[in-house]
Amino acid sequence: MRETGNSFSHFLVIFFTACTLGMPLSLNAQEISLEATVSESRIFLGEQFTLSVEVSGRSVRNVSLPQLPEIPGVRVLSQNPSRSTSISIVNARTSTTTSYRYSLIAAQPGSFTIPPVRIDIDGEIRETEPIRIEILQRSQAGTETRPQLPDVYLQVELDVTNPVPGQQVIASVILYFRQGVEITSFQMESGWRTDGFWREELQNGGQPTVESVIVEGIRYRKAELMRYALFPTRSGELTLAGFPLNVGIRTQPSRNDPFGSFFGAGANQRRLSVESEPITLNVRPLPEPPDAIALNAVGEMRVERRLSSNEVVTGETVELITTIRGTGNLPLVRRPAYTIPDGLELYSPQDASHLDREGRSLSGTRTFTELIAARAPGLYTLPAERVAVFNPQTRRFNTIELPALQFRALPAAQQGLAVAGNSGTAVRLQPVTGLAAWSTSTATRPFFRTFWFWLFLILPIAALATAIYRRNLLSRLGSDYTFARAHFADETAKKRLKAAHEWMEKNQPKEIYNLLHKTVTGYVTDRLGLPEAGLSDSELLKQLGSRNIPEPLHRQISSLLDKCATISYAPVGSATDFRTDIKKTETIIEQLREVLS
Amino acid sequence: MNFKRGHLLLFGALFISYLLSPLPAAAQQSRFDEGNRLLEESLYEEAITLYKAIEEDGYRSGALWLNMGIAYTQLDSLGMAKFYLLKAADQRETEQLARQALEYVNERFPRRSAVLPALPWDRFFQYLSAQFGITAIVVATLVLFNLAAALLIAAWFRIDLRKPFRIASLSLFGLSALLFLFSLIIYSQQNRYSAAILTDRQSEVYAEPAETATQITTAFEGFSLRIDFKRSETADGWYYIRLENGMFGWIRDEGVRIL
Repeated sequence: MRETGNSFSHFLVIFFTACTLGMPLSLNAQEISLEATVSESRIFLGEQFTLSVEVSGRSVRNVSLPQLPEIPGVRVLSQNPSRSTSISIVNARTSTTTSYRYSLIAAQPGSFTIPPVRIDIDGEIRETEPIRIEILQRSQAGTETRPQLPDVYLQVELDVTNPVPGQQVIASVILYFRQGVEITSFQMESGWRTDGFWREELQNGGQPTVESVIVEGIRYRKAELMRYALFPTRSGELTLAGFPLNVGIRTQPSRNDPFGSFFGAGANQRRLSVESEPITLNVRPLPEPPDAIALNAVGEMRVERRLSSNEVVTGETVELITTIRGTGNLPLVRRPAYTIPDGLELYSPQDASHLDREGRSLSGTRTFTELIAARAPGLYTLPAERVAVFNPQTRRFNTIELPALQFRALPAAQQGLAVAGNSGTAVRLQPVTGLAAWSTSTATRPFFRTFWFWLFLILPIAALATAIYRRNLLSRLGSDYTFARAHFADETAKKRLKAAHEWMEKNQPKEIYNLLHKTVTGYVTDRLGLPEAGLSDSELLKQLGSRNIPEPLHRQISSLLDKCATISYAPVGSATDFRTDIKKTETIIEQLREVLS
Repeated sequence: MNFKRGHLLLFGALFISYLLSPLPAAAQQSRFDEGNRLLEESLYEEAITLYKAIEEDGYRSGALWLNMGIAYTQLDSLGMAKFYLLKAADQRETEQLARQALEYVNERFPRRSAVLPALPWDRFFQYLSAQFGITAIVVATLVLFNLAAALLIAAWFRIDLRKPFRIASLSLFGLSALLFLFSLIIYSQQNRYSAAILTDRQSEVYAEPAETATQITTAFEGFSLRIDFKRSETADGWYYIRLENGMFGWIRDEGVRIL
């Protein structure tokens, strides 16, 4: 039988001893770091470069010199490295960094690995990671036929060369400059023309980092100065214009210039305008979208929607909030056009964006808030919807299902009818209640078919016509004596006959017949325009005869005139005779009026 | 005795008919009240049915049209709402409320026409027509014409006042002639043209009265139209219209409500 209890106690003792002894070791291991780096990973044959071994830690007390192994293809200039030590105190914690720098020369073309460098730190041997290097011959590195690249040039590098409309393309503005050239400042000269693209500048954050590269056989250093997110807005061939940049540079004097350092005190400074080459992109068209609401969204995005409240008073608004999150063309995303059921009003949406420009690409949140108002109380359902987002990685549309949403509109207070106003506030439409003023619809007659219109139109015209006639008559009466006599002949005859009647009352026969004579002769001369005096009865009758008056009338006149002429010698008649003769005279005048008119 | 009895019966019948004569008016007021109750209870379609029955019986009222406009607004039939509110705005008692409601309705049309300002003389005649009415202008014309004739006659017979009478008379003749011309123009405009509202959601406007003709534009619900009746007589089922943006064309008469 085995004693399990003893075995277990032995295990505990060993475990705690190991933990107690191992803990400081592991702590020390965590606190000490060892790293080997080379100044360039691609080196020309015969070119000098540096291998640095750096030891840093908080409790480094005793560090030996690194034991440099045999490095293939490389010759070590000196086995004694230059050493430097720095001490930093952060939050009352001290850390020491010791660097050893070896100068090496590339001795043989090819790809080689620098083996791990061993170093004794506080009695413990540690090793660095191996480092791969490539040694190039100058003729191998670049094509000699090409024109020589300038000392400083600019290049715009795109992460995608054949995007679809709306796809995010990261454009990095990279400045290349030769060894010996220092960049003191840079500034974009004028606007960068990116026709056909929506452009958003990304924030680099801090100083550009510099890397060493070999371009066409020449060692350059490169720095990413700026970064943009570009979104093509249409398919086809689109061209990005050259990026203009003004750079301040400082160059070291040439070693062959014996006076360079003597007069120039070390460096030449100047400003330089550089511009990148234009870039042409072939933007492929988007595939046929699925049967869903198109948002014009391209990227990796999530779409959600919700209602701000599930209950609302009729006429007031509830918010339908659609949130689109992710990476892609957020600034170009369109408002989702949802189907709004009858009985609901949709008002101008609010659009809010929160874009994150800090990273390598544009990401963030876009929020569309639509205001919805119910016109009448009830339960309203916004139907489920599908929205489509194009994913450039999979080159396919992703369809996102948005579930149906419901809210209830409660009745509003009954004072006027509330409806939602333009700004989302309730407007009251006030109906008229109680007694209304009524009229019956009757077709109105046009004014020219009314009696009063014609009456008042003709009345002044008739009055004017009468007045004109009267005016002309008066005018002629005033100027034409013969006409005036003829005009007033009837009136004169009537006056004379009236006077004859008066004389008849007084029984004066001579006066009566004298007046009757005057009446007839006066009337004839007035009407015919003959002289008033000096015309004998026979001449008068002759004139009448020439006017073709009827014979009986002529005889009556002749008889009357004869009686008037002889009455002075005749016996006096009775009143009846006088009346008869007056009546006869009146008849003669009436007949003459007709004949002579 | 029989004669007296016959008279009594006749008087009785007349009295009863007198008593009954205001009943139709009271009936339409009670229907209006019932419609208002339905409107308050948000039963808009039922309220409109009642209001329409009153209208079809030949009764006119600003209050009726205003409430119809409001009911249509609630039903989102904005073209009809605008039509009735414009009619209500023409009535003095409901003008203010109707204009307030119209402002709201006009804001809600999703598509609004560009408005070409009316020509100055058009505006002038519209102002005269709206402010005074053709009857008042014709009455003024006749009064001035009669006065002018009287003064002219007076000028002929009153030698001492001939000159002032003559000047006054000629001025009044000129003025009355001008007013008469205005009234003829207004009458001609009122008879040839009429304002209308499109109550359909949308309707195409063509260059000729045929659906195969060139499409000039699209008119949308609530667009104000001006119908030329004289030209419209030449095509059945079509109106020749002018839109507020100055475009002319032919439109189907369905869905066009004449004010």
